[in-house]
Amino acid sequence: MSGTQSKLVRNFWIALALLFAADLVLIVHYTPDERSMGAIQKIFYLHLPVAINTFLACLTAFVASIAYLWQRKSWWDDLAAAAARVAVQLCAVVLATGMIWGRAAWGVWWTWSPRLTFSLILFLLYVVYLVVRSSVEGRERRAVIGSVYAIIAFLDVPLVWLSARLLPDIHPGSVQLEPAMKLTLAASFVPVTLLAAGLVFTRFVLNRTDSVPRNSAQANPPRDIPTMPLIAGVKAIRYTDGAL
Amino acid sequence: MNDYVIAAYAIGLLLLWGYAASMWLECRAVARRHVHVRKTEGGQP
Repeated sequence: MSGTQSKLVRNFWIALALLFAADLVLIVHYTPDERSMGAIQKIFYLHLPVAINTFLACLTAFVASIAYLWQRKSWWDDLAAAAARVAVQLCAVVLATGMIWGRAAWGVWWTWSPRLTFSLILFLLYVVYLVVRSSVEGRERRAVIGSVYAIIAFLDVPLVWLSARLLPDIHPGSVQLEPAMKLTLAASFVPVTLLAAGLVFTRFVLNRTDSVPRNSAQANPPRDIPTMPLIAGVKAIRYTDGAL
Repeated sequence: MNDYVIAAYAIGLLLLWGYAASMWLECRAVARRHVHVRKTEGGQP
């Protein structure tokens, strides 16, 4: 990775940290408290953007899995695995913030309402996806099994989305917001979405790197590896013509 | 600010940035590994 790329990556993460800080200032000082719930409602500005990005990460894994089964290019599988791994992390945040919010608003940490249950199932489905991948021998076999699994696992996403709208649920299906709240919500989507994209991309690059043999005398790396990474602190990882 | 809100943001941001930090460390390890491979093969690190 060239010095310019390294600086670009470092600046991206620094800018992202600053965006998060600015967003927190906006949430604390600018956004008014909601009338019925009070300050508790401010969890919403982290909870919803992370939840939407969880769906996007699952969608990425779904599309990449279909693309892998269609084209059989290994980087689609690496992208699916990266998106699924990030989806697990994001879903953990959704569940954690949701539980804290539930404890404050409903008086319980957990209730088996449709949306909460489908969200927990979504988390477990993608955890199992990672376990299945790590337990299957052979790169191609792992990719095929992982792709089929990721396609099936994605079916839970519309269930999470629709459950609170179609079924009786303590979890609200939609909310009414004042203009200042809408602005804060829109602003909160920016750092969370950029972070999710950065995490998926970084994980993808690491997955690609893992697919290259540690000793180049053992085998040649796959030809479809794009020019390698990335990442602040990494000096240079560039593959050219199958040689390290 | 409410304690629940502080707890939610603390846990949420820790999970997100903690994962980012773990990947950063992984990237550094990978970079070192590849530099080592290049050195042992007589190439330029």
